[in-house]
Amino acid sequence: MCEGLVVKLLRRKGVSRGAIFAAVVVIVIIFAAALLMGGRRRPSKPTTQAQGITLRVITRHGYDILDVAKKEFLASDLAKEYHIVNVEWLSVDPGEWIDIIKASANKPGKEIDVAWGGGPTLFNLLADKGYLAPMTSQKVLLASKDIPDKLAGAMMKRFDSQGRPVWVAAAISSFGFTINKKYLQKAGLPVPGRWIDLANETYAKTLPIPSIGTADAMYSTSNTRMFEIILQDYGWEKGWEILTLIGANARIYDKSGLVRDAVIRGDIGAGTTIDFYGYTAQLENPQVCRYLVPKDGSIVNGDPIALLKTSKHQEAAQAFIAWVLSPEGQKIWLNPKVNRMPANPKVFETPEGKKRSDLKAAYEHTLSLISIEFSDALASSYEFSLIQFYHWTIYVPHDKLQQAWEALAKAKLEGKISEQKFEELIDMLANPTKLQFKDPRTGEIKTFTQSYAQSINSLLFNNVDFRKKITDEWYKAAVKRYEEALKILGS
Amino acid sequence: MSSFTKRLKRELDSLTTTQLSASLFILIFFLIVPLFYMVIRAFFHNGRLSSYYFQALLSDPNFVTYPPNLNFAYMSRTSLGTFLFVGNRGPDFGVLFNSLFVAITVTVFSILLGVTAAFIMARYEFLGKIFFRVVLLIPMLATPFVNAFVIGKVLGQNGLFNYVFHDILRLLPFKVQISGLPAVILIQTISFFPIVYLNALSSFISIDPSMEEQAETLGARGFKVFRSVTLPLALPGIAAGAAIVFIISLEDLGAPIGLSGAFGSGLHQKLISFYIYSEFIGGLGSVEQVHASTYALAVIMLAIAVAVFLSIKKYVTLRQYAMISKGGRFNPRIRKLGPLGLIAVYLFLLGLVITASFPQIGVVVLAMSDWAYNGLPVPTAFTPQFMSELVSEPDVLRSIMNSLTYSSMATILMLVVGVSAAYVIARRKIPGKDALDSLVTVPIAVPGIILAVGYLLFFATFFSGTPFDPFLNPGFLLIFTYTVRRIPFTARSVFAGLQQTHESLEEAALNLGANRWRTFATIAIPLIAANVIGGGLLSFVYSMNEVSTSITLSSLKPEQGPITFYMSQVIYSSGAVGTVSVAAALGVLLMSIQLVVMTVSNYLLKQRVAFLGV
Repeated sequence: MCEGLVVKLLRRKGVSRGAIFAAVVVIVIIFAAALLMGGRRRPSKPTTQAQGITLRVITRHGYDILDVAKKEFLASDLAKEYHIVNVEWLSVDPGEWIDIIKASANKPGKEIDVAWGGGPTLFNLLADKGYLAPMTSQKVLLASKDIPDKLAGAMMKRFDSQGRPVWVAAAISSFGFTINKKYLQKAGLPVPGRWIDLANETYAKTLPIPSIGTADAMYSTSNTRMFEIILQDYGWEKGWEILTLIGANARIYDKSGLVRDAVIRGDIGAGTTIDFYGYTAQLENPQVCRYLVPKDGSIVNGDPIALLKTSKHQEAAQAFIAWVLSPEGQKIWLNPKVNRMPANPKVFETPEGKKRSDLKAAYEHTLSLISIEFSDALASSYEFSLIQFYHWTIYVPHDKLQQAWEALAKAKLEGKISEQKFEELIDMLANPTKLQFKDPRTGEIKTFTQSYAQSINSLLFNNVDFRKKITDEWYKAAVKRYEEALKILGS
Repeated sequence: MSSFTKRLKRELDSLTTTQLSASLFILIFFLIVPLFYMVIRAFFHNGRLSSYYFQALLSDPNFVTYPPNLNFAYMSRTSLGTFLFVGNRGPDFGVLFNSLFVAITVTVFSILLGVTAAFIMARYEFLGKIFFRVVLLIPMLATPFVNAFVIGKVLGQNGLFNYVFHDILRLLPFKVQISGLPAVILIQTISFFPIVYLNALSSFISIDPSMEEQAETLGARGFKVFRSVTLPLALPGIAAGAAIVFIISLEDLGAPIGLSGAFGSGLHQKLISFYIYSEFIGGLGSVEQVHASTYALAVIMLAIAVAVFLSIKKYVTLRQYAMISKGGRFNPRIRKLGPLGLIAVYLFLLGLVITASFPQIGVVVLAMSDWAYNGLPVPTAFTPQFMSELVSEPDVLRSIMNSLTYSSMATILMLVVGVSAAYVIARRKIPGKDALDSLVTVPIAVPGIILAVGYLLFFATFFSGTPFDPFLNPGFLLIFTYTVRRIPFTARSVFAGLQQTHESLEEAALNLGANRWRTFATIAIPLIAANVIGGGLLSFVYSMNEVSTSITLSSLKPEQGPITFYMSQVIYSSGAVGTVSVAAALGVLLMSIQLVVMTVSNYLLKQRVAFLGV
């Protein structure tokens, strides 16, 4: 009736029957597609107790872990007790976590319940921005009682002001090197034993072909952690010198997994990796690859799980968290394809846990090697500054840095310059407190001291304009000093 | 003003109105409106219209490097041997001019390779031609995520290239290490020249043989006929391909990401496309973390794409290419080759196919052998393990079905919209049609990640709860992102076909009493069928390859994810054993499906369309 009217009107306006027909065809195609898609997967109605609950989990874990976790959890008594019939995984890039959590909160039935995996940096950000809810369920508290609050200074749990946990580590990791024995042998390079070894001029012998690898702090939370360890281990100035020279020796990748790939491929002799990358490389090719924990300091890092404030199923969501932290749930890490270290050591007492005596040995070995008292508070007080400074003074001008360092290291190795001159030039290349730049707020000339890094830490995150201006300054200053060093060496 | 409306009224018959409204509806609703956010962010600073972010970019020392660094290559003796380093310390002109340099060079190389290959395929008869018809398309097939590993295995210092040419054949007295811009140019050229090839091929085939015969009757021979008759007549197709290659090279992330994966940081990252991408990836938690100058840069990239496209178009439309009759299967100008010519053709085609398909061949080898983890330049053992892992995985089938559904629906839409738009642009004199022409051409220059974010913000806010809500139906929206991102392949190819076809053929039909609809359907479409199908196929293949919006939107509802999303899930999964090989196995599956679709459509359509380019 109504359509007939529209057609008549259009006809009167001089639009032909054919035109109307074609327009209808286009619209029908679009809506047929809409119906097909929509019909296949109707928007799920808000879940009720009677229908069973679907939990939505935002995560950085891989599909292999998630597939197993979903199957095992849905079969568990806990899932049945809380009428949980499905778990939906949202594998979202860290750059969009907050956007997605926020947007989902306005979609009835699509609210996200749990966040799982992605490292403490991301979870601390969520906590600071008020997205995490304290966990109050007895089941969570019970399951996490075997997980210590801190391991060698590194947080395994974060508490709110009332002492309730807002995130708990579900897995732990250490950091070290994955080495390619064949490469090191062929290139005549020593096996590195400490972080500081990677900064040694010996590894510059093969430049312009780098023999070691690391990853940019901006894209790799695990490497950011390693850099924080080095800074605490050696202090601000010496620490940055080591970071800069490791960067100068290295190929710097933009994903931590690529470092491991390059070691396996034999492109580099040693790469900084998280432990399970190293262990899997070792399992994949035991004759060639090995994972080593550096003697001058390694910590364990907790990989958190947390309850989100947006969850409409707080109890059910906590049941899932409790399951992940329980010895039952912790078995997912023991899968020979995964090889991650559980946060809850009780899992090694289960029958499945007893079969992975190798992982248990690695777990105990890692704990025994913890040699430094790590301060999480100190690390996070300058974390964003570290990330940006590393990115803009080491990663982006990397070609210039490497060229200068190659000239310097080779001059030293060939005995062309004195030890003193060598140290002098290293100081020029790598001392952060001698890098001069203009503070965009005041116009004053500043250097990158620890206290300055702390003072701009939150500003770098919250004020994008400030960040852009100061990082431009850093980049310019860094390029300038690399070019100057090269000029001195050339003459 | 009145002449404007008069002209508009005269031009807007029912066919044109329909075609125009169909194309404008899709383009405005699914391209322009979602991108509004980007433009606002680029042009407004502190709530006021301002060029602040453009100035911020130009003051970025990374952006324009003066004086440029022109150090292309150097030799160096290291403890690992003597190496020729290409590209690792230059050239470097800064982000802006690096992108232009790469895009121009890639376009020139693609024209050289694509036109040569197309001419051989269109004009010569030789054994194995059908084989080359298929394998020349292989370089277009998708190898996302895995290509970094393959590039490392092949071009790395201990890679296959150095192993074969230095260690085994001893043809090179030194090893070669290529990175930086030259490496980007290499990777992009081998993956994009088939776009020129396909467009040039349909043009060569449509050339009326009598044109060349007349030239020969008048005494022209060999290269002169090619240069003065064949090439100019095929120019619309070649230009269409070249414009697309230029724009796609500007936006491409595959090469810089692949090279960063293989060689780490370097000058191959100093490109506009990568700069934008890394700003989005580097932020934590929220797109609020992305500096607005990034959007300004995207606007600059779009402006370059539009400018270059319009100048190519202007140059091409200065002349007439239309022919009254068309070449085809009735009287093809196909010759046999002499022995020397035959050798030259085989050497050229084999060399081209092997070089250009190395990423695809590498993916197949990774998926079926121990190449990924044996630490050697060559594979030593076959293993069916990774391919068979796919069979046990129900998600694989689902993601493939999703990919096929989205891509084929998007292709239908692209054909409707692309043919409509191209027809209006080629045949009607509507004011502002240059804008419409740019609109169906530049979407490839919109960074996928910005479009994805635009979709998230726009459709989640204004279409909440409808089938357009990305939280409910990301798959449905993917049909439209594919449509707008891949429509240029269809539109440009169809437009080139129309340019080559004389309008008088349609006028004859109109004179004989057929209305515009009938003329369009029974005269125009059959005459340009080769271009429609060629463009549609390109659009389909590139839809199956789409990564940026697929990953971002599908993460909201993984079961609606296409195969590229699933591959990203596999490759980023916690570093499990054999990840690269499993992702490669998925890549093999994806490539096989693309090949099957191309071969089947070739077979089905061959009966109706002469010498289809596929």
